[in-house]
Amino acid sequence: MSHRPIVVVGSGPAGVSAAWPLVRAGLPVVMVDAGRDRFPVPPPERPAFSVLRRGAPGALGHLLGANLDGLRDMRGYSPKLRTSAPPDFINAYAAGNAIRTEGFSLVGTFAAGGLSNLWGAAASLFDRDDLGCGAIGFDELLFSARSVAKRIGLNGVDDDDMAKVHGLGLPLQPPPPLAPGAAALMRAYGSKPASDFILGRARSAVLCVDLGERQGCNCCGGCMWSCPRRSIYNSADELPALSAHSNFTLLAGVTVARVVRSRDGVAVLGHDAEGREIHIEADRVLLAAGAVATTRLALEASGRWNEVVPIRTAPALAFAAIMPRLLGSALPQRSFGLAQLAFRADLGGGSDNYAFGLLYAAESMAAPDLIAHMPLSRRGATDLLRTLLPGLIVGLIYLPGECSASTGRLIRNPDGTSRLEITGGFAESFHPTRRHAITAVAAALRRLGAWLLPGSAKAYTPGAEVHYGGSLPLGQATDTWGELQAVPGLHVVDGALLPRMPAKHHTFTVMALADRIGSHLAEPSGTPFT
Amino acid sequence: MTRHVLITGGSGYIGEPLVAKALAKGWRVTVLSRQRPPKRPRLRWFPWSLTKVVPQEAWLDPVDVVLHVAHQWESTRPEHEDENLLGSHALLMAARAAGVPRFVLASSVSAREGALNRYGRVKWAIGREMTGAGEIVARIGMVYGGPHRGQWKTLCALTASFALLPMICAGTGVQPIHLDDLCEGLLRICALSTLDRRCYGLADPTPIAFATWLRLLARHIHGKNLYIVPLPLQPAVMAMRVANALPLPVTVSEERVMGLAGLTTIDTAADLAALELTLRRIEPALMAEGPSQRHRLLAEAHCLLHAVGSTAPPPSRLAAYVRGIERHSDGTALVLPSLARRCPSLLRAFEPVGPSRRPGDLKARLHMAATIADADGTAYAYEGDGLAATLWRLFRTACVEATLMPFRLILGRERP
Repeated sequence: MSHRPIVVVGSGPAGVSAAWPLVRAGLPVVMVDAGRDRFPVPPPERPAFSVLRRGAPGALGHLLGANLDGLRDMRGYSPKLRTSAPPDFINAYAAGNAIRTEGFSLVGTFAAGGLSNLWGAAASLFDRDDLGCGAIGFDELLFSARSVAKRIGLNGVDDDDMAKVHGLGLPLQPPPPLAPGAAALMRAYGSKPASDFILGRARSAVLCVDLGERQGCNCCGGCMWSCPRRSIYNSADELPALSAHSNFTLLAGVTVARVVRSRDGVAVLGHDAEGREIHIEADRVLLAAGAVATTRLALEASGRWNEVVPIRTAPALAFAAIMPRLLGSALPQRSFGLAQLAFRADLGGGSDNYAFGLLYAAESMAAPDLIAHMPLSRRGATDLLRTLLPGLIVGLIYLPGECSASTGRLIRNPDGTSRLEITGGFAESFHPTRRHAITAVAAALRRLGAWLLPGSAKAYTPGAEVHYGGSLPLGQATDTWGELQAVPGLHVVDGALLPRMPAKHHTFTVMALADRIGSHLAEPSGTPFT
Repeated sequence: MTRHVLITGGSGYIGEPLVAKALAKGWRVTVLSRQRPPKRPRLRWFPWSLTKVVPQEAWLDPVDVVLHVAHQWESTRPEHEDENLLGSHALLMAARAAGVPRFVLASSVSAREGALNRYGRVKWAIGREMTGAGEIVARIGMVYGGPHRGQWKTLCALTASFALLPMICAGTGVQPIHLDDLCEGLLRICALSTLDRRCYGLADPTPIAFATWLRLLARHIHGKNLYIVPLPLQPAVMAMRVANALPLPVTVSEERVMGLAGLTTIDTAADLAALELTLRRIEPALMAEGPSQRHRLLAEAHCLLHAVGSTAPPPSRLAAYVRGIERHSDGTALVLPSLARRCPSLLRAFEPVGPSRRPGDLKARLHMAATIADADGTAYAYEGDGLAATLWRLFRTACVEATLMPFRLILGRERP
């Protein structure tokens, strides 16, 4: 047996999930990541958000960052991206990965932990319809999903209507308490169930009970500004534990430029932060650089120049709704700042055609992002928002990936290097589906006592919702273990592998798929799922 | 070889920095002027004005170049006996007699035969005498920058005082040159080893409409907008003459008005290339002449933060705003409406209705101000206000915003 390592490119949730089974099996694993550090963890003494909002000393520093990065113009993106990301995280990522975009907002970061530094931690598992292919069995996926859930910690419930949408049979911690608006919606839903609109608890990769070094959520309400207790899962938190294994090596600060087929394996070529060239010969390379970056590396390794490949996204809309009965009531002193509730709205035409959504308590969001599109004066909009805040609910609706039509194409530069050109776009079905989804969600919420604010529903530009995948589908571009047919030994283990991009959040499923591939490669005799 | 340059008018707007730059080059300088310049090494001074004879001692130490910058604006004599004409003639004769190899006359772009104003005609007449070898005319454009003196002071004061300015010949082209560039150009003419032309144009090769020039001054020096109302020349001159004939406390200088009306433009690109002189870009140079960007941003911070909040912002917010603009925008201050600068609450009436069009425009900056005010605010009612107070606030906000909307639709339109 060869002593050459298995190289994992990327330290995001997929890379770490793929690495764990290999490391546990004692195989030599080298993880290569362009990032050196994760995003800064807020100081543990950060006061609760409700205290900061009432003028606690240092509020400016806590909410805008010591370098005022929170003042970056990030309208059109999720509030989470504005509030906790360091400068240039988007531009540096696109340039460093040789990606050019047109009409597509590419979000990525060269930080340890990748996008899990600023995700919303929504953690649902795809079902058979979501996967939309026979390349893998759902039971195999569930086996890996359980293992991942145990490792990272999920909170949620297993007995409400949404539980089967998020995935049944997973280990769960109890969820955080609901904000008044979400609680009122759930009470109303309990008395008025509907067949085409399912509402229930959100499921998130956020600890409510301590797990290892990470502490459970204390409902400080500052989730959008990063978690000082590390309750929100960030794959960078797993790197110390991985590094404790002698067969695991982390090469931080190394940007992978190319992956090529070598005489008896795969070679990873890149450079470190000082510009020194890096060349690693490996038996196998697992690409988890993020769906878009992985797509470029895989297309180049396979020689698929100038070929148009889909870059699937789940087009997203943001909206605001008001619960009149809560107007004038007190705001909670402590709350959970990420999604409180999740819903599934049928769009007709099959069980895989639905909109998936999340509901947030508006009081835990950065107010300026909520007023960004209001046609009022800034002061008027601020006054209005503060007045409505006790009854305000902010929601995100995701549509199935079939509504997206973004594509990527690998181009050869004059100097022989490659670049991936992404063109953003929506399918024809997008606008009717969007209207259908808004109407369905508005009607359902109205039944529950919440009114969609007129004009509040805004679609994100393609890519800004940060659900990327589907460019190298499992079972088509790769075999059932993510191995590219053109380059034996080179596996895709991140979102690029998804056969479909349903409306549901994909990160947890991607982690399960990565774990499944890692587990398979860790077993020389074959599949571990028996 | 150390040069010895004789500069007339060495204490004037152009002369003073010219002397300083010549000294900085290590040259010896003799100044002829009415006022004594501060004492400095390698500097001699002789009292002199255009009506006086050049002191003979000035020529004892051999002079390499005469730079004739002096000009007397007021004259009671008839034009053919103008002090400038006679004084310059005497100076030229004296220089020739002393065997000075080079004589540079600071003239004007507007100097021409039959110019509409006396200044242009007199400068042209003096230039006509420059026929000897080494006698050169420098035709200078509209000089700006440096200490507020001379015409520069007049224009700065004019653009500071008015928001609306009636103006004749608003489209007349002027060719600006920064004071420092001018001094460098004049000294380069002095230092040229060979002269391939008798006349050098020292002015921006691309003319700019005078109205545009004044608007740029208002914007970059005073941080405000200036509106120009163009007036037809002939009726305006008639009205001016009538007004000047009346016993009013203020008279309008016909000389200045006609100077503007009669402005011409000249091609200077080849001359500047011959001198290897690159003029600084006008807008950044004007910006550098105004208050510092930090100072302006602070004023902007005050206005915008006051507009998005209801009270005067504390220093922490002002600092965050200035740092935020410097970090996330191009760091230059906006030109805010004068009304809003005086009363920040009125800025709401100028707030564009649509989304921000460019990074760093008014809408984007108001959004940044709102973000800062929100992060540093204390206005959240965690205890609850009750339904009645909530409805009252909604009603009040609706009334104010409805009232503001027509103003915002008109005043908040994007300006070119």
